[in-house]
Amino acid sequence: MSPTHFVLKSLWHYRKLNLTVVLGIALSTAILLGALIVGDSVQFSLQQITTLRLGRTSQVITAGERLFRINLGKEISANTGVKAASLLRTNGIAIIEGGKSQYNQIAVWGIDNVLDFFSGHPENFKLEGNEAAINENLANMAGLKPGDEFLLRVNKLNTFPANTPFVAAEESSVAFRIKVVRLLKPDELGNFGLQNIQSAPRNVFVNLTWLNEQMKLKQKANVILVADGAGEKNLIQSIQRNWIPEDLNLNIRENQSMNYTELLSDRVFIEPVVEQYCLSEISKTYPVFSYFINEFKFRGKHTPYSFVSTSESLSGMKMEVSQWLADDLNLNVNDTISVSYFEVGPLRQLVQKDTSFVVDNIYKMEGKFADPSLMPVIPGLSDAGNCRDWKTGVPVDLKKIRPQDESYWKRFKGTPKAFVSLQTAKKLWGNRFGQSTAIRVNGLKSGEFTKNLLAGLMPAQAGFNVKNAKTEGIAAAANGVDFGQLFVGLSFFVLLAAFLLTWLLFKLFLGFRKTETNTLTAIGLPLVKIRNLYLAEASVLILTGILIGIPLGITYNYLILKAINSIWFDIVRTSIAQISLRPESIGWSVLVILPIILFTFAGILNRFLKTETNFFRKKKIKNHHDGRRSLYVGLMLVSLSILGITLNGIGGVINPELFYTSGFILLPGLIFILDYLLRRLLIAELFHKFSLWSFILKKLAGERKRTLLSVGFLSIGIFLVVTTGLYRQDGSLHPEAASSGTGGYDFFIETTLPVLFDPNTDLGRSELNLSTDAQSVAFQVQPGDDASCLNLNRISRPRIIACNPKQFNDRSAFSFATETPDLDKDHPWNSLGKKFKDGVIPAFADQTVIQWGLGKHVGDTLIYQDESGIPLKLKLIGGLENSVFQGNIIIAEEFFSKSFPSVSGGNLFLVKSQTIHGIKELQEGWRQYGAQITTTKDRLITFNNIENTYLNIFLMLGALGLLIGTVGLGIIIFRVTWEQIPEYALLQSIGFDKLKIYRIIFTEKLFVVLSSVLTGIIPGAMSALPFLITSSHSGLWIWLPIVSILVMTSGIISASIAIRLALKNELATYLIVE
Amino acid sequence: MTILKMENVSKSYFNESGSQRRIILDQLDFQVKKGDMIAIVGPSGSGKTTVLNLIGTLDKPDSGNIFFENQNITHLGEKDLAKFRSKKIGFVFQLHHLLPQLSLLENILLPTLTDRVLQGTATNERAYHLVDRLGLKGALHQKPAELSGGECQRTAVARALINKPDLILADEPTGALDHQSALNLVDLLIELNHEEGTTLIVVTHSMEIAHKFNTILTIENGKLIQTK
Repeated sequence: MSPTHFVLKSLWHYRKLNLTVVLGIALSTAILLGALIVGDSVQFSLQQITTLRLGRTSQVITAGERLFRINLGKEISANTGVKAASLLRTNGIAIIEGGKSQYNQIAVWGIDNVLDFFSGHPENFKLEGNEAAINENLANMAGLKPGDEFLLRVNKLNTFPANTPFVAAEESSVAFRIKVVRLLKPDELGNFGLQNIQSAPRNVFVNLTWLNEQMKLKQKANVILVADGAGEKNLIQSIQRNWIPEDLNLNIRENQSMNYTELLSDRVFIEPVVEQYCLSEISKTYPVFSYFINEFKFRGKHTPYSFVSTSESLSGMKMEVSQWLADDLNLNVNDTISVSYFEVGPLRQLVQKDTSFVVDNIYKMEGKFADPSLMPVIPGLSDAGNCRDWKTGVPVDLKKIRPQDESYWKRFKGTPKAFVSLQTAKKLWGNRFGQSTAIRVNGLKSGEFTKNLLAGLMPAQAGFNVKNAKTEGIAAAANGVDFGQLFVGLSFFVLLAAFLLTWLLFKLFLGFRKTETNTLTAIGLPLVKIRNLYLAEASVLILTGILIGIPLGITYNYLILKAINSIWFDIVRTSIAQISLRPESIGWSVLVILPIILFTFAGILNRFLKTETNFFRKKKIKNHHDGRRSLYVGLMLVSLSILGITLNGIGGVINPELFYTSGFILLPGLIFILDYLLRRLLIAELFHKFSLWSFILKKLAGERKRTLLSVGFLSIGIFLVVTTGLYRQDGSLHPEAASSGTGGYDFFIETTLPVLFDPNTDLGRSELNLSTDAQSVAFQVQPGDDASCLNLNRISRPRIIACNPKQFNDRSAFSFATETPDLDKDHPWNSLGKKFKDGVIPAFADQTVIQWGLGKHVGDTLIYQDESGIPLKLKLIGGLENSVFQGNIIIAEEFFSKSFPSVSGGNLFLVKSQTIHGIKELQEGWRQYGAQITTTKDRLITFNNIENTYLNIFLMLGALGLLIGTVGLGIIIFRVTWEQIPEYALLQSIGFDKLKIYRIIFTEKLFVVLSSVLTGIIPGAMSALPFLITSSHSGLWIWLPIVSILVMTSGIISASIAIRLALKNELATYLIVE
Repeated sequence: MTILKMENVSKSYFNESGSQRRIILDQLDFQVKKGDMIAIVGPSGSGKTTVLNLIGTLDKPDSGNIFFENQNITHLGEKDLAKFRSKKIGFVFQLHHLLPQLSLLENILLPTLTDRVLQGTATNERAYHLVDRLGLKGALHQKPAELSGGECQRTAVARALINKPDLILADEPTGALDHQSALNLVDLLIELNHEEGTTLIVVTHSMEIAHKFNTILTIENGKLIQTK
């Protein structure tokens, strides 16, 4: 007989037992494999979403807030030979059925039919007039279908930022009716978007030219999609080759009579980067800075609303004034003239300031002094026929305008009435938009100027950015939340239970081979050979188990995905449509499972051979101590636990950690007391009242170690499942506290259209219908990806939001989870204003975003690009505790304005008021801005819901683990019962029938299950009490009876089956020794 | 007075594969009078224990009837059989089968748990009496692990006697004991037979022990032949 023959014979002989071992291994394999390949499916789905989102788009060219010609896209396409589509993207609000319902945060895309190429579906984007194609997500949400019409209010784009000083703000949005002609599916580019996020956007596509017309633009775009085939470098070169000043919102005009050529900007002020480039790279250029001032004053006389420009011949606070002004104010040389003007603040804030100049010269209005071109081009002002038609972005009191002012305007337009030095002008009026209003050069033709300008200026300096959207999108999806690891973690308990089950089955497997092992040893088979025989047998079982486990794992994965698409939807917020199986994942799972199980078996086998083949081993008669030690320890732990709970009561403030600790201490306390009771039972004399009950108790006591092991394992399992599963992040706990995640603010408002004024002013409150006690913090927003837990993709550049941190500092708002030495502990928010070396800017983010969304730590630096293409380094100096800011990076307004001057107004607000009691009261005032208003508490709860869903998953999988645990208990019961069969045979011989014997054993095991449940559930409930007593989680109570009943039922069933199996054989045979 | 009668009792077993049937008892006829002391001897596998198990209702015959005090016990149900064993039979096995978690006294009292009627002061007193009679007084509260083999087996005898059974069935009761302890135990069983008036059937392979009994039955080819 060969060893193979022996192994095969044994495998067949113990086939029933072997089958259970195989099933145990299959179960372990299935759980691990199923959890691991969930990651593949989620990753595959995210990549699929990215692919569908971008269609054939490979790269995306944007220019921040800048608008460029539609033709730039066509020229790039012609130049590179790669398809390119120009798009005009803006935000909008959909107003349905005359305002019955309103949908905010609509992505409005002006497109032409080139987009058909990118979608791969011809004719989808052929739209005329007010025809619109919308995506299914919006259609489903708003109940729209082809043929429906609705009003779309969009953020009106312009070639200058909406908060450009002196430019009127009236037309910040424009509304028009559109007609839905097509619903676009995700695979028809319906969910097109530039954000790396898995959730579907709300898209409206309209004709590009038509959208331009609605915004009174001339063939402008702000996004170019580029198909695969052109490299980033190639595209940058192509932009540079094809752009014209108009694409930079610049104009170059020639004044032949005065022999100069000048560069002007649609943005009124010349962007610093352009100014610097011109002054350094184009010879003989010089800046001109003309500024609108409110008033000249001299000895009680006033000249209102004039322009002042700069002269190179002046310095300090000297001023040259025109004869007209001198006459108007009776000025003479060396008189001191007072000038009042507006200083540009954040948003559209204007602060009136006064200063004085000494009149250095009085000039005649002729020659270079009589140049009306010195007045910057300010829409609504420079093109007005008379002063009374002025439409400015600054408050102008038309009553102050005198007839002589009108005459001046008619004759000289905005020709400056005075000149100051350039340095002084820059110092007084320089702002985030620029420090000059024109760059002039004498004697250079406009063509030359243009050529010189465009040849050297880099697209990035003008805010042009070429993004490898597809590569980055796929990478973000590939590196996103690892659901494989996540589910292995969440399945921890169920995995542990499955492995434990396998371990027990192996023990049982060897338990049945005791006699055989002794025989083999007795006949002289070396231990190594016996070990190898069993290992060979086990290897067959393990491999078979793993092979069966693979399809089971795939089924388990399918069930998890089903749950993710339904009851666990919160964690993905999209439909994970397809299962993706990667052979390497399956291979890895097998490679992990195989050695674990094999080594586990080898360990059990070694121990088994050591103990079972040692014939000289003597059974020790142990002197059992009476258990008083266990009693003292148990009572001490229970007392400590009660003390902890009492302390919680005294404090009046619920401390979840103290509750958890109290419950955590109670559990071993109860186990120690059970140990004491069992020890006492074992040594107690019960004969004088010797009854069935005392017999059962004696039996339990006789199995003290196994009883404690079973109770310990199950109760710890129940405790862990209950406490972890019921632990909830609770936004409803003290939301009013400034230190909480709400900062003490009541509402979180995100607007679709920017709010261009300060909501804390009387005007702002009135405009937004806010009560007088309302305090608001406005945030400017630089779009980026959402790095909150709502996004599964790995984000590298989250959205930047900026505010004046003073209000937060005054209120000691929010709390910090992590900090760096750069953070001032007493005034953390003031730290945002710190200036670091190399232009590094301090920043905050939620610790969860830093850790999970970005995969970074506090102290790390994020690199962005500002509007001028200069790297913007944001150093994370503090990590906020779970807050409403999740998903964003916060910096100080002062730094933001310098880096992103084009960003107009605020799009995000925190509002606090004691007189506003609900969202409805706010809706009216904020409606026109397409505001999404949530209470800060609800926002936190939304974030918490993600975590809570994960905890629900842990609870459910934990419950599954407990079920498997009770199967394990069944195996222990089977083994113990089986080992004790001679005892039961004896009971039968002395007159117990089988049913009575069954009842005795069952009652004994019921006690184990019941003790386990009580020992686990009572401390578990105590630990989770802070969450269970909050109103928002009161439903969680249900888990306590669910887990209890589940474990009880499963335990009873397992015990029942195990006892029946063990007692199946003829008991009498076990009493015979032939 | 006949206490036990076996009529045409046959018993056979299948081998493990179920392919072959092996006849152990073949139309066995056998009677036992009250107070008898019988030793059954025979080679291994001859069916000695089978006879004992059939009498003790731990097993059922393929055919034939077994009467105990004129009551046919062959067709009794599980519950009645258990009751019968509890009231009428006392078993002593080769291994003592004492429960390790119970003290000596509790082990003796174990059969009283089958019926509440059997519990009470009188039973406790009988337990003390048996302990005293069997020389186990000093070990009353000790656990089986703390007792010698002889003490364990004597405890098993006391356990068999606690309910005052009419018939003691002992299956190789001395098999796990040394020679002297074995002889002592047999003497004790015989003395108790006299004192308690119980009927005693002992299965043994030792002729030395068998000869201490009034009657010796040898089992051969499925039949019992009286050899003494």
